[in-house]
Amino acid sequence: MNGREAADRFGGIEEKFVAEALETRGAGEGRIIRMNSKKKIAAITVAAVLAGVLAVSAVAVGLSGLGRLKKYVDKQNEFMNVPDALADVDLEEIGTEPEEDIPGERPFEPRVSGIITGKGGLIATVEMDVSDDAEFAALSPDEPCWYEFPDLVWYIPGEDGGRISFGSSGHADFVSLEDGIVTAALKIFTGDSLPDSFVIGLSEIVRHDIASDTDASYTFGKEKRIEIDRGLYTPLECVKSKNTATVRGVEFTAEMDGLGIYFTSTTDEHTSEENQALLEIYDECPLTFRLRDGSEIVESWKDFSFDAPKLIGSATTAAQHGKICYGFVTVFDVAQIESVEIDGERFEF
Amino acid sequence: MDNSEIITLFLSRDERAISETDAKYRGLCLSVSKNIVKSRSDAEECFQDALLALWRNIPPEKPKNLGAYLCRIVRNISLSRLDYLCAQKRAEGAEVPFSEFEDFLPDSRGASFCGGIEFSDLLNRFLSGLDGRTRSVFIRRYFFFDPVADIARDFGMTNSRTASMLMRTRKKLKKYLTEKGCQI
Repeated sequence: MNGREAADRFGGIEEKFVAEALETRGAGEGRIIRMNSKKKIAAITVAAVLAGVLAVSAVAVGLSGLGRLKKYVDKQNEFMNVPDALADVDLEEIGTEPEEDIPGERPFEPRVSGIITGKGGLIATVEMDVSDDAEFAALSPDEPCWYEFPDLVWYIPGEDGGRISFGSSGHADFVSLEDGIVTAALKIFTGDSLPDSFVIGLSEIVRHDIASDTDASYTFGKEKRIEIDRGLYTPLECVKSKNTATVRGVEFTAEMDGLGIYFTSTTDEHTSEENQALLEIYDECPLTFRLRDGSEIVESWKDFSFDAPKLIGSATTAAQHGKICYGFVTVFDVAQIESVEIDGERFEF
Repeated sequence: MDNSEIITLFLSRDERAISETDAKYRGLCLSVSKNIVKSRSDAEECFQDALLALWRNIPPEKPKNLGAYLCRIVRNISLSRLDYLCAQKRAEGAEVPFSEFEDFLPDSRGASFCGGIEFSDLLNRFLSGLDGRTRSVFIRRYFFFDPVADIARDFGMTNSRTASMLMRTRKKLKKYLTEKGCQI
């Protein structure tokens, strides 16, 4: 059956189903967006906040594509003025309690394994156990893959009961899957004040296997409030440094700010040789972090430990597929980092 | 005017049925038709033909949901119009997602029946097993031919999530049809 014939067959869909879908469609050319009032207000609020605080979008956008890291860093610096910008936003009363889990979907029970903050922001690592999902677990962890987080959202409840949304994105900043545990690390920028809690919403994780061209999804409920452990709060002065070095023919820029060190290759489009070199760097060249106290931490791009006391982060997993041209590393106490060495090339800070 | 009143007008052969239907459903029908034929003028023509068909069909028919019933007529007329336009090589810009059907539906030999069951019956059984949200997203795409971006917007989802949902539903349908004896 060709597609045109199939279109005719689909004309046989029962009227009750068509009517049901029609309800979602609105009345005509000027269609009605059927959102409940709470969501409308939330959308307006989010739009207002995002408009006033453009830096936030860099969290979603700046980390999601090739060669966008510089933009992200610039926006992040801009974001340091966020408390003033937020003061002008009239936050609507929309309530802050997490929504109920969606019936029929798995409860969303993230475990926050660590919260690390720097000046103006916090990083939360959230672990979610997906080991009970046969479809999800059936895919080999070794297959080249990438993850998609449709409708991932996190926000900080405002003092007046409103919502200060700091990003809505299909991407966590970095993610890993090991032994059925998905670990997503989220960066949230709060200005100078640390909130008491934040809310994370996650509807679904989709894992796309590149080699087998298959995907599997894991569906969660809606949102959970996560209380912040202030004992983990460590004020950190913003450190800024930047330098460039060439590793195996690929020029990298290393940039440090208060929240991490970011390595990015300096061009968006790479030749096949450079892509090959990126793969080799990813596979073969560990990063040696030399600390100011004389000690060293050696980590490979792909084996960054989320449990390391002073170091948290990951190179993006997509780098191993030759598609991504930047490495992304976030460290806790960046002020202690004196230099990072990759394949004999040193980035000083 | 509500649908039952409009249908009563049709049943009594009162020509106000046409004007009332036009007033209530013009925008909806034009958007459905434009998803297929793309041109506003062609969509207008399809809508007028649909009104005529409605006048001829009621009575004896008495649809339970006038909007859905009319959408089906508009859809069918618009697909026929698209065939005509394509034959005349005048369908420039038409972007009906026919190709998305092709990897998961029966081949032509089994187009009408699969394992002794009519395809449309199988399709409706499959749809009845979906949750309402997934079902409506699927129908929005493959019955109404709505753009993914419009569907995503109306359901408050991202484009990528909507596309993923559609892809998974297509795969489920393919698996379902295969299990029922269809040759894909």
